Amino acid sequence: MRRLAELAVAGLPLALGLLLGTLWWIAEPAATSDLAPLHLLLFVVAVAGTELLPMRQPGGRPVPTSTAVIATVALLGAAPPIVAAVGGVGYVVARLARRQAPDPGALVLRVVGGWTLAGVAAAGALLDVQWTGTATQGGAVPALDLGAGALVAVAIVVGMPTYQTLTRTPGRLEFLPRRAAEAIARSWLAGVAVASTALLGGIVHEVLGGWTLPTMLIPLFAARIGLEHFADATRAYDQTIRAMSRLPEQLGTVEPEHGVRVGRLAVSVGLELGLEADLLVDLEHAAHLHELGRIRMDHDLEGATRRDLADAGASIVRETASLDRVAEIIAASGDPYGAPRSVAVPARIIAACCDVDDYGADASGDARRQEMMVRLVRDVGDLEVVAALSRVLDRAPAVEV
Amino acid sequence: VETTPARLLVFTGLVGAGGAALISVGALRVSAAAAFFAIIAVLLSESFVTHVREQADASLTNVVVLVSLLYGGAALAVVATAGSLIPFARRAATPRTSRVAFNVGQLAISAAIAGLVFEGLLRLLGGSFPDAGSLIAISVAAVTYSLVNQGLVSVVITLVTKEPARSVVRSLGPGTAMQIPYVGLAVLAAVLLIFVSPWALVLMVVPAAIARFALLSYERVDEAYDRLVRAFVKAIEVKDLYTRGHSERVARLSVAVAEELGVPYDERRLTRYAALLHDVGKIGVPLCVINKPGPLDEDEFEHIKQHPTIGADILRDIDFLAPAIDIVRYHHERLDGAGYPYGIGGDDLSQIVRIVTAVDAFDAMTSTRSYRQAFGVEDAIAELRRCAGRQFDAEVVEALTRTIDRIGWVPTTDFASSSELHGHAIPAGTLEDRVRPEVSG
Repeated sequence: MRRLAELAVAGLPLALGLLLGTLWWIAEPAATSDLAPLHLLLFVVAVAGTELLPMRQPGGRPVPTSTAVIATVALLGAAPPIVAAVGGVGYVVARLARRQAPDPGALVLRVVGGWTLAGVAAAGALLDVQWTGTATQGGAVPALDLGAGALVAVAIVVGMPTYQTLTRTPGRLEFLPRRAAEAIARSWLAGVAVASTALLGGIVHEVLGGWTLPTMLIPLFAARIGLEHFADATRAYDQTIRAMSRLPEQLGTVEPEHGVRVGRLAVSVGLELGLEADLLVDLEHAAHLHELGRIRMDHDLEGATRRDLADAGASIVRETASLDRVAEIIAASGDPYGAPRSVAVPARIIAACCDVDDYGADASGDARRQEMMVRLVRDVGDLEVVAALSRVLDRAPAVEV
Repeated sequence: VETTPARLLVFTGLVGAGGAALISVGALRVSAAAAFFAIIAVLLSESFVTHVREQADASLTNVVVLVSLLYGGAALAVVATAGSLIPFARRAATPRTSRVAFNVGQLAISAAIAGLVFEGLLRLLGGSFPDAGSLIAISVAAVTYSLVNQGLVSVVITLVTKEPARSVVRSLGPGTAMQIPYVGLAVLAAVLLIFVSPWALVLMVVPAAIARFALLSYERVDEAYDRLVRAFVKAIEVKDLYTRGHSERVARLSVAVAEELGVPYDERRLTRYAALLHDVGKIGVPLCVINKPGPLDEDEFEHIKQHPTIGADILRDIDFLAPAIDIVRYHHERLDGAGYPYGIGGDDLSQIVRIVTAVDAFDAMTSTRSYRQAFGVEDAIAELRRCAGRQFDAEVVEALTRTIDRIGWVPTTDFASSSELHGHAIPAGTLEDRVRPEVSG
């Protein structure tokens, strides 16, 4: 049943895109134009080349730079089957060049995506707002259909991340709009770079012909280099924090991978409670580092309370300037009842998830589970957090607790 | 440039005056509106120079010059370079006047020569923009611009540093290939400007602005990352009394030695992080062993032997550090295979491992530890030399010696307070470390 619902969520927008693309294509056959076979071949080669270079923004899903090339073909007025074929063939060529079998799901996405973009461009062309330049010596006049350009840009910057949210983010339906907005916020720079490149290609193709692709992609690649650097540095940062979570485990007083497991569980609970994206990131970092205090209290762990540990951990984390809120969450997790309002929810999530992980696999039986929940309510004192945690555990009892 | 030799002054003066003359002549031959926009464009591009990496800054000034060339010919390209005056004046170091005069002048001269080449080729090949002839002409002009530009700069470098002209000329090559993307950008911009509308330039500027924004953010995250790694190291040193400051010192000296050996920038960066983190595994070694005054017994030494493996395990999931993990894992191995914990030989030890191993031992010897006092720099170097070839890489040891001569080194004698030592006095000790001579750091 759940699988069917997921299929419907993923499939409906695709079917809609196919349908709209077809309808507008039929309604506005005059808007489609023929591209020279040589140029189509160049476009396929460009799609294959750019397929290998997706663009990542920190925290966001990669935006394929090949979208810029496919959208250019759509803006040049090619019919949906042509655009779909350029995207699909380019993708297959890229996979084969890497000696990988094409992934059927990804291929369907490219074909339907291309078809939809062509339909979107055709729909925009119905508005009939042209931007024309001056004639070259050869008589060619560069032009762009502004309606088509605007709709294609919106489809790339807003439509693509929204669709990815629909298909990939777990959690409750009521948070979907916010998740979609966050997904757009996390990839809009890459999206804008791709969209403006597509518009650029659509304009200059009339003048530059075969030279369009090598020139139009240069600014995009510059943006890609910058964004990749940015994303790499951010990822190194996250991974280093995860590695720090292993430090207390080396002392033998914490179960291996405890920090990583608590982090995973805490993020699921945070998603369930609809925490905003920034806070989720800090929640995950704090969960990874919540036992760090143990390395400072090495010799006198005996009498140490949860609060002492949390304070010691927070003081270590505070020494890194940009992790202030993480330190605050860790400190507050030592005293879930008295936690300051701003960080109460993440602090209680961590305290609860830490307890659940300490219970270990024993908590699988119903009686044990009930006992654990009662204790959680007593220790954490936040019914909403415990209820969300309970729902997460129900959904995936194999959270390897 | 602290003292300005007369020859240098004459040269920069000539370049500055030549540039000024060219700009004046050019100004008579272009329309005021075109000149205004071209000058503003250069002013902006020089104001937004983006630091890409060490010793590499990206600016779009040469794109603006090429677009001016395509749009209004050599005269406009030369006049455009006047826009660099204000940005240069704002960031030039002393002696300001001659630096600014030279920089603006060399841009104008480069633009003028590239412009003459472009116009000559265009006449020779016929046709007009954007046909094949004009694309060839602009490509050759771009390479000319870059060569003249770098040529003039290298004359100044030769005059200042007395570096042989040959090695300066050799460094000119790579810049030529870098002109290809700039030519593409210039052609694209010129098409938009000439056939579409100046407003369409926004479509090009947006990705460039995103690239700049992302690179600036990258620098910010990279700095934060640096602080994080240092906090990581500090977290370990909370536990380990005798290595306080050790990781920082090993990192600093390792990078200096890597520079001395001509290790490329990316690997030097990696060297820094690997050296900072080389002892993280000590967190898994019992406190009483680490801070024990006096020699270790076999059991205790077995504990110590584990720290490179534990360290590599802690860092295993940091993709960026993947090439550095072997450095952490092998920093107690020896060329002759008698090191620990794996006992692998020199064939498996990269240059960076060899650097960190030698520097680690050097800092260990020149700092006071719980089991002995610090040794002098001379003694430590003599000991490294004695073990070169068997324990340490001879080339690395020599590079380390040269580096120490250059930057100086003060042994670290301020050890933790006596209360932390629980009343034990630190013995004078010998150069031979705790259990066997090859054990260090």
